Amino acid sequence: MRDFSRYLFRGREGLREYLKFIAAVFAALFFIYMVFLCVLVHDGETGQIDLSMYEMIGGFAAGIGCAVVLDRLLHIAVNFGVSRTRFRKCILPALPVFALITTGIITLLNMLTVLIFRQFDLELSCMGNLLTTHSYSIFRPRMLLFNIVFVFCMILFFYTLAMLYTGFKNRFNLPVGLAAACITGFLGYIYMNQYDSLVNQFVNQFIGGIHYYMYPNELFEVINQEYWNYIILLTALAALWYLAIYAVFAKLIKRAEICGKEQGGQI
Amino acid sequence: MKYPSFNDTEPLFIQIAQWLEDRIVTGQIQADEQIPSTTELSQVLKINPATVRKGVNLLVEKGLVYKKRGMGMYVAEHATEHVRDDRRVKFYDDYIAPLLAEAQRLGLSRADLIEMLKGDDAQ
Amino acid sequence: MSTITVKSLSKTYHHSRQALSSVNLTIESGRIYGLLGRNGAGKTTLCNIIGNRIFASRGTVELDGKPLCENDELLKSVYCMGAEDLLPNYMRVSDVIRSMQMFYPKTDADYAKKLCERFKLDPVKRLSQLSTGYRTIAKVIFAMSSGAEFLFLDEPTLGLDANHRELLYKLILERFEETGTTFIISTHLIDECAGLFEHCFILREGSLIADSESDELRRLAYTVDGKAEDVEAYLSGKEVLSRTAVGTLCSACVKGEPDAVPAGLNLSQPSMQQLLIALTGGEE
Repeated sequence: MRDFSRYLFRGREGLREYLKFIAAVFAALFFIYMVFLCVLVHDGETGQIDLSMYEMIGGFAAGIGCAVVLDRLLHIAVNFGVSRTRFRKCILPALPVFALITTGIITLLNMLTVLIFRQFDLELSCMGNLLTTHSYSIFRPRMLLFNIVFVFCMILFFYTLAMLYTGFKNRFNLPVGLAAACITGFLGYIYMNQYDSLVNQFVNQFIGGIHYYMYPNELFEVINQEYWNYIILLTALAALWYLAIYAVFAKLIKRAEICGKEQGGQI
Repeated sequence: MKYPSFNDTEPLFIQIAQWLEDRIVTGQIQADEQIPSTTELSQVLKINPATVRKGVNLLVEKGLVYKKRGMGMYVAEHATEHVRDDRRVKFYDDYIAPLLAEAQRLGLSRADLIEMLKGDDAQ
Repeated sequence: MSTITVKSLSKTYHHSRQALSSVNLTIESGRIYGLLGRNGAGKTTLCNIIGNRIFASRGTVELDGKPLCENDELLKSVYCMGAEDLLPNYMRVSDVIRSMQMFYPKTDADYAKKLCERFKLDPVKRLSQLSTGYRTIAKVIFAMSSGAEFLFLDEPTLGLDANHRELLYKLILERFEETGTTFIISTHLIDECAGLFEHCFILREGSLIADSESDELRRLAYTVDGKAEDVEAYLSGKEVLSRTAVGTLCSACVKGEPDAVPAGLNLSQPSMQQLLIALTGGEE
């Protein structure tokens, strides 16, 4: 167990490759924010600005990065005599750690960008969740934690799409892998945006609660219970979803044939 | 140098034994001189060392080479003579019989053959 | 001394094509084996199953009595090198060696470096930048420096020029002598490699048709040639592997050991290549 886990984190083709990939995407996003900043300053704008790219786009890119790296790692692992069982057992705890690291990067970038915008009298709100509409600053501790949890769960969701892609692609073929990931992603997107979806219900309740206390500029005192309920529920839901998809992934990988799908050409 | 090859009639290890014998009988490797090691032979001839060893063991059995502890395989005393004697016995079967068969196919008589041999002597 | 035992191994693709049919063989450590057969005979399938890349439909592969399939500890003793590219193309040769050390504890990185020098392979190059021949060379280098006890080399001569092939055979023999690593080599270039093998397996259409010491192989068949009618007369009641007619002459490759060959016919030993062609189905 230990040596493959070590390879995931220390080997060049694991975490490092993944980070290289998302670093490029986040650097590009940061650049876009800076360009946007220049435009705003040029136009003499000040005040509240809502633009959220790091989370949705960055998260999506993190999912793609995970898919590419996961598939490659499977091939490398099998090439070097690692069993599929060991592979998936090491992946199970590793992906949440990758997600945590990615969340950390996104959060830091968020904060950095907000600070830069503040230098120009612009209050940027770049959190991707529904709280954007209420423009809460990321620097408030409760907002920060909330955002971290939200982004972590979102990235984990994208990772589950990556797992479906890898599992189906290697068990069957590439088109099936892509289809599985895209369809699940699309369904997830629809679900999340439905007004009465479980997640949105709680978000709205939460929003309702803190809005009452927040507006206009008072320090907010959310009923502790609700805040923590939300955090716990979201985490629990994400964990359940992750484990469910992991089970599917494990089942698919178990009999995945990694090469020679059609040997020779003889009839 | 004609190397042993898998395509010849004899098994490879016998070919190796004969190859070494050839070099012993012509004196290329003298008595008490070391024969090429298994490793060397194996790598130059591109033949499995186990096969080479088998061939060398044949020579050991015939008493043509012996093993010096920690040093390698050496040609035995009088090995050259032994091989010569062996080959003399087989000379008729190996060379004369085929010669006669071919001569018969070509319609050459004994007298013709003797003439040819005499002709060589005169030169 | 370890042994890999293949028991009744079968592999069927998509309910129709039988790539392997009940193959039984034993591989003992410390020897060089040849795995021979035509394209599609099942050599690569066999190597892939042993290397845990694909799964058998029936049967098992065991290392010292324990199943090799999905067994991480035992798989460390086996390295399979094949034509398929499993490693990502962007990886550099040196990257692969470095990563391999995390999987195969006995990886010898210095040896890998020496091999690269001998083949004049620049370890900084990415796999995608290598020609076919050099990609094969790289894969062979990976296999040989892995330190695994059993090395399965599937077509290690693919794309290699004659000089590199000579060097390859030399290196295999060197490594074999130094470390006693077991080599199982599948190849088409039988005439060149035949001397390397101590023991040969011949596959034909998924079945093992020969499993013997190399020297015994020559006993599997012989050739007779002469006037066509004489040859035909002689051939009755015998298992004929192949027949070639040239004018009124005919030559045939017959299975088994020569018996009572009449004077009018020539008896000869087919070359390994001819033998193999004859055993595995002639010239189609």
